[in-house]
Parts: sequence; C-alpha cells; structure tokens
Amino acid sequence: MLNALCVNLNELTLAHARDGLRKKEFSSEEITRACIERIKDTDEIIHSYLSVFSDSALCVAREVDKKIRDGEFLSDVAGIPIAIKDNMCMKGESASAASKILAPYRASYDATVISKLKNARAVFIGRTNMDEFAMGSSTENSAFGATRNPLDAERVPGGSSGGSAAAVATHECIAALGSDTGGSIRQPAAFCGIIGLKPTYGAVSRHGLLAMASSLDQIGPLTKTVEDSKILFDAIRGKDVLDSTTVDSQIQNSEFKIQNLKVGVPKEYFDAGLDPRIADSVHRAIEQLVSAGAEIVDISLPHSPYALATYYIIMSAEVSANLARYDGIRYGYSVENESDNATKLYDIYANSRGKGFGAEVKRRIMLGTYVLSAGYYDAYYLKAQKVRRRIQDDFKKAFKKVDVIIGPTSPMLPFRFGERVADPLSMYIADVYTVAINLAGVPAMSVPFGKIIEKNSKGLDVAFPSGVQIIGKWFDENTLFEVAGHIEKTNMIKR
Amino acid sequence: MISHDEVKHIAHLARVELTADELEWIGTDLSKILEYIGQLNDVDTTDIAPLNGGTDLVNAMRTDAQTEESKRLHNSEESAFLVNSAPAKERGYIKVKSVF
Repeated sequence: MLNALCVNLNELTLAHARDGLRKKEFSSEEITRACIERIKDTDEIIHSYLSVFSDSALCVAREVDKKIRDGEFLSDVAGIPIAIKDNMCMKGESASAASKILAPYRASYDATVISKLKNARAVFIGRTNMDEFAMGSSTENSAFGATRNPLDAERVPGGSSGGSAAAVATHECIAALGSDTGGSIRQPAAFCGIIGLKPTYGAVSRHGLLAMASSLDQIGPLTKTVEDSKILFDAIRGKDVLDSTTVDSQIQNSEFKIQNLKVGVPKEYFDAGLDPRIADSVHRAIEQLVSAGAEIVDISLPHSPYALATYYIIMSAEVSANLARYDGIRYGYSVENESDNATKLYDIYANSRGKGFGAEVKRRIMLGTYVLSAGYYDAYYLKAQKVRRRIQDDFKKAFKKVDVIIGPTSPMLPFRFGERVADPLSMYIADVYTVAINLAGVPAMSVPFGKIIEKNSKGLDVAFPSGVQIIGKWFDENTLFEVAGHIEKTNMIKR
Repeated sequence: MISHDEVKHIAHLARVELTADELEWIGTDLSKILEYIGQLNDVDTTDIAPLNGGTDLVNAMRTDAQTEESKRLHNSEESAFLVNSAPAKERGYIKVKSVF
C-alpha cells in the first residue's frame, strides 16, 4: 500500500510503523516527534487534543528505541504514538471527560486499557477532545471547545470520540482509543473517513473508563486501516477481574472464506431518513462482496425503528445513576471554597452540579431521573428493557441466517457547526443506525467507502467517504476484520 | 406535557440546581423527548422478560477477602492522594457540611 519511506512518519499506519521500528528503518522518537510537529501545525485549527504529552511521550519513545537497539523483542504497539480519549484514567494525568466538573481532577490509577498499553510500551501522545461525558454526536458539547473535521473544518468531526477520530484522520497520532455507548466510535470514524470498531460487550475492560451507561459502554480502536484496528483491539481485549462484565477471550479463529459468507441487508437500515448518496455507497460496498462470491440475504430487524427511543430511556437512566458520583464532595469541581451561599450538604451537591455540568448532561440526567422516578419506572424504564430484549432477539434471529449484517453507519454526511445542537432530537437522529448494536451487545465496525462530493463555503469541492457499518455475531470480531478488510481493499482500488 | 413543578421536583431528586431559564428549556425538551419515546407503547411486550444488562453473566463476584492491593493502599500515599482530591478535608478525613 504505502511505501514506508515515502511518507512523513506520522502518516504511517500502525502496522508499517511497527515493521519499520523492528527493521530499524526509523526510531520511535522520530515517529513521536513527527506526530508532535503535526500537532503543532494543525491542532490550533482542528483541536483534537485537550493536552499533549510531548515530554513523557518522547521519554517512553527513547526507552523503546534503546530496547530495540538491545535486540529485545517488543509488542506490536511498542513505540507507537497513541491518542487517548479524555474519559480514560491515566495515573497522575487529568481525565476530565471534557467537563468543567472534572477540570481539577487528576486520576489516581490507570484504566485497564492504559495499563495494558503501558506494559506493551505504547507511547501516549495526548488526551483527545470529546462531547462532555461522551454525550453527543459532534464534540460541540465539549466544555473546552469543539473539534473540527479534518476533511472540512466548517463541519463537525462527529462524536463523542470526535477528538480521537480527527487526530487519526489528520495524522496527529498513529492510532487512538475511543469509547462507544451508542455510536461514539463508529459515527466519528464515518464522519472523518477512518476505521472505528465497537467491540462486543464484555470484550474490553472498562475499569478506569469514566462510566456513562454501563450496560452499553465499550472501549475500542480508531485507526487508519482495518489491520491496525485488529492490532490495537488485540492489545486491549481480554478478561479483567476489575470489570466483572468482561469474559474470557472467546474470539473465534475459524478460517474465513468470502465464498461462504452470508451478508444480511436489513431493509429497516435503508429507510427514508437515509441520505440516498450514502445508501448508494453502501450498496456499492455490498456489491464488492457479492462479486467476490458472498451471498446476499434480505433480512428484517423489525424493532430497529424503536431502538433510538429505547436507547434514550436506558442510557439516560444509567447516566443519571452513574453521574451521581460527581457531587462536589470527593473530587473535581465544587462550590465548597467559593463565595457561594452553600451552607448545607444539599447545596454543595446541587450547586456544584448545577455549575459544573453542561446543557446536554443536565438534559440527560433530568430525563434519566424522570424515567426512574416513582410512578414512571414501569411505563418508561421497564418498558424499554422489554423492547431491548426484542431488539436483541431480532439480531439473534438474523444471525441464524447470516454471518454479518451490513448497513450505513450514519444517515447523514458530517453536518455544519450549530446546525443540530439546539434541537436534541435532530442530534439524536445521528445515532439512529448505531444504538441498536449497543443495546444488543454485538460488535460493529465502520469502514469508509466511496466519495460524495460537496462544496464548502469557499466553493471548493470536498470529498466525504460514506461510513459502511458491518455488524457481527457476539465475539466474532475476526469476521468483521475480514469483511471490512475486503471492502477497504476494493475501495482503494476504485479510488 | 411535563409541568413546571414536575421539572423542579426532578431537578431536586437529581440534585442539580437549575436557573429559571434552564427549568424552562429543559421542561420543553423533556416534553418533546417523552413524546418521541411514547412510540414504545406500539411494541407488544406481553410475556417479554426485561433485558437489564449487556451480558448474560449472573453474579460475577470476587471472593470476599482483603486483597494485596487493598492492604498496600491502606494508609499509603495513594490514599492520601485520594483524600487530598477533596475540596474540604481535615486530619486525613473528607469534610462535609451538615445535612440539616
């Protein structure tokens, strides 16, 4: 694909960077410096990062270089600059989830994904921007300013992992971690034209991830290629005693043959709300699989139209419980030492939270508290849990007939700043094809395909790839990598 | 339509102090969102068991014993770091205002 010596080192894929380091074609310090230089050049406009760890990153890079010189065999991610979404704890560093309420907070421990990458000698290049507490689809909800889309700076990068997606897309790092509760890895990957994986629920430990909705949250990689996605996923997955929802590795390793592949195409994912140009790209991506011998099966996921409403009840209920810990007492922002008229414990809670949380977070805490409150629990929360069962049953039934399900990641191209932030329902619609996957717990990937041309405000053409979403069986990430890899390869030939 | 008093009551339960302006727009938004959510009543859920988590695991627990980690943390620099993260503290304890 790319000749490693022809590009700037920050533009390397993870696999090429790893191979080049092992062959001593360049050093980790050189790759890290290239990423830092790139950040200096572009991040004033793009704003992917909340902070950059230049000194500690270079220090780890030099350690790795020494080990390579000493002939030590290192992991696939050793010496690779990786960006981390601001909702994962790194001991001694800030972990603010892009919220004012956590601005003073310093993590006292490493998240499991961080300690795994630390042990593997990865280089942490910085913390990336996001929607506050991962609530949003555009990064406009960050308390520290929005991130811009590297394809067109007038548009949003998607969210909530918008900083991680933009950092990868504009080569300010080699790869990044994000988190996905309802589409927060896949949708920004689609908007920025990169690869995003939401692993199976239970595949990756969330210990040290600032919890949003615990029955839905997963950590996953945002990368330049499908191969990189697999490398980073393998580096972070596995059972962890500190997250009791994780399970022993059940990743299947059966031999993949595209001639035996059955692809389910759900009619509900090509509804009136989908941009017809994106529908066309997705159909063309599916055709690439057909011409390689895969069989197409028309399927139905009849409860998909109810996924978004179900998601908003369950997610907001869990948000209201999870965010109760930000109370102005133990850590983070508090009115305690301000000239505030807080005289009782209740005032500390309510005033710290009132001043510390942003608009969308308040909206969801309020919604969640409402649906859990006496008299409404059965009508909303219990009802949603029952519909969630029916949504999961749709997937179970479909996966008896097919190996993967393919549809769009997002119904729309990246939108412009301010277009949707005022009307919550118009923003929530951005997740219409991604939330059901989290409700069911299955893995899914977004892969870019095709090009849709639109004019920017200067009248220049900008090309946006469409995000093709590939949904797999529980713990069958390997089939996702195979199918996504095929779509990626044909996309490059056609480009 | 959700009433102004109801919004105030929910804000009280959620322990979030809201300005008059916020009470207004959050009330409007909640009404809109609840109307949208109302479509779930079209789904027949007779005899359907609620799905209350992302996993089929039941009672994944560790043994009820002090771990090496927790022994190490007791009275360590790390526990001091945790107490020091609190905005108000006294003699190694986190200090809070009176309840009533």
